[in-house]
Amino acid sequence: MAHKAFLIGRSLALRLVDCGSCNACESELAMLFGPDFDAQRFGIEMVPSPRHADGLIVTGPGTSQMTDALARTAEAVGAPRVVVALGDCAISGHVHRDGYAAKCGVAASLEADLQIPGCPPAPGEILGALRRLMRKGATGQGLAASD
Amino acid sequence: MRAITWRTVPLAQRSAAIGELLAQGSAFHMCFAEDAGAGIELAYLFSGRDGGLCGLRSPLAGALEASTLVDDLPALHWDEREIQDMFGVRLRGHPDPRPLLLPDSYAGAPPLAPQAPVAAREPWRGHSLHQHGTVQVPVGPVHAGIIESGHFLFTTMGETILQLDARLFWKHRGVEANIAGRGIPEAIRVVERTCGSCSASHQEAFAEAVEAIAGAEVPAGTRAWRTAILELERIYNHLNDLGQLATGVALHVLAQQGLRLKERALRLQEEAFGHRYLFGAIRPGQVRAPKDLARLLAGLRRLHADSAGWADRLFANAGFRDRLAGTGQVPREVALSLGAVGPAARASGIASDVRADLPYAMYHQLAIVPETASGGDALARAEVRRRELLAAFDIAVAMLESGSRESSPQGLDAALSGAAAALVESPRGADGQFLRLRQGKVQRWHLRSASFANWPLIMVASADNPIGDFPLINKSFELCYACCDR
Repeated sequence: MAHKAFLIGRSLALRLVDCGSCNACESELAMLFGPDFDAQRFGIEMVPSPRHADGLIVTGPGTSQMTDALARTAEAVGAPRVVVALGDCAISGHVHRDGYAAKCGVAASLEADLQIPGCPPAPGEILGALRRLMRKGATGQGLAASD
Repeated sequence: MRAITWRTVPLAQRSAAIGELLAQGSAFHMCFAEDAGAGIELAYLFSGRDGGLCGLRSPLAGALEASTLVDDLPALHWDEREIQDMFGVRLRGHPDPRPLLLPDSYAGAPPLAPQAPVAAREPWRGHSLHQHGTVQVPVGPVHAGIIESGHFLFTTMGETILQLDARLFWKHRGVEANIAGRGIPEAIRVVERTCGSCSASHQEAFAEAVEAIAGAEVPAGTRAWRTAILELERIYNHLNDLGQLATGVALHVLAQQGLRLKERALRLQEEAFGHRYLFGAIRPGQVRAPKDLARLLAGLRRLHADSAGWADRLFANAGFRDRLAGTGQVPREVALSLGAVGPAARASGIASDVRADLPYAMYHQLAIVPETASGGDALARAEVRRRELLAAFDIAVAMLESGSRESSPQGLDAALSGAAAALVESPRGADGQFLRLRQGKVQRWHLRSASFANWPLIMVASADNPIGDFPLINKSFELCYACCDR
């Protein structure tokens, strides 16, 4: 059985799937790739194809209309993969919880390996959390075996 | 902002009444439906030349259908489709009656008219041209970058876009239905999270609507700080939007410098108002006071100088100008007919700006002159943003200096009842909200964001351009998906 630890030893390539965020999480994520945070120096990259990705970074409360697109993107990434729930909406649905068109976050569709709380989480917090995930990956600790 | 003077008009006379208003020079702002207790009514909101809001209401009398008015007022075409989805009201004769807002999987009664019957819904089908030599290029909803979700269907011949059809609303969370029944403090927490990029504008419009219902006077010092906050929102958005254009033409150094300036703006906002995106800054009757005013002013002055220098370098770049000139053109008459708002309208030569036309907060003292350009292309939209960015610094500094902490009006969260509308010039244009409260709870809230008004322009702007320029055209409008989709 493949293990997620092998995925993310020295680099982490992620594909973003926006499932109904207010765009503040996207805005903060984009700041990671500016000169103030420069996440690329740690091997973190947002990739333009799911085929190039080690996993998904998901924002928003999980709108019904994005359910299928999220599942198909996850499938295109393949297994093993990591799933990062970015922001309070992705973790719990936050203020949009239990509406007719949004659910209670990513958890309804995918099991998250990493939750980054905040509304929105600041770029430094996102970077710190992703780097902790990478350290866990390097040592193989705390990551579930893949599905 | 202001109460609405309503006039009840039978369905059959809407066309004549709207024609009369337009002939008098009234401007259209929003169209929505509501059931205030006497059945579903269609509502059309205009502002007259005297600055008053005038509304037409047409009761449906249980019919659940009405004829379309798209021929009279093309700007209505998405509003009518929205009413069709959310209330189950058929707009007879609409040229494009496809579903707009609701998810494909939705099978319940119309969300804002739960008593209406469950209607069979047609699946959405993209419009494309199938002829010899055409190629269909579907893109999204998931994109190759840090971009919100939306689907674009291009019909191309060679490199050229013949037609673009877009399907948005992948991010529809049902905000309007979800906040019904909530109290004001809880509702505004959702309203400000409808869109992270226009949050302060949404807060201001909601607060103004509550204040209008309460008949409350907000002290000048509070209004001055609110004005400063709204201009700070314009500053960081325009920095972002111009920086995105630098990314779009592969000027990486200028793009990275733009991100650094935006980060400085966000940090100033966090230090002064406690949140990088200004969540929680404006509440009915109130404003959050800047934490260290002297530090904020000093930071803003430095940011002003550095932003001006950066914008000069960007616009002096011949490659930047060449790629933007003539790209994604929207002729003035098209912008007028589709009801364009904000920098996109002004770049097509339309001198409209809510801050000048229907001043709120402290704008009546500031005598804003809309920044216009005539090109209607990506370069004109960038130029308008650059001038507004630099002007926003001056307004923000002046308003921060003249603001003060004053006693705020009391009792705004009490058992208020009534309806009002408010319009605010967000960084992307007119942000219109309608609010009806019953006993202090939201009965109906409708948001018509600037992005909702302007998305249809992108289809027009893209035709006849190379498909490779679409990202640049899209960035030259830089519309939100979130506050369009709700």
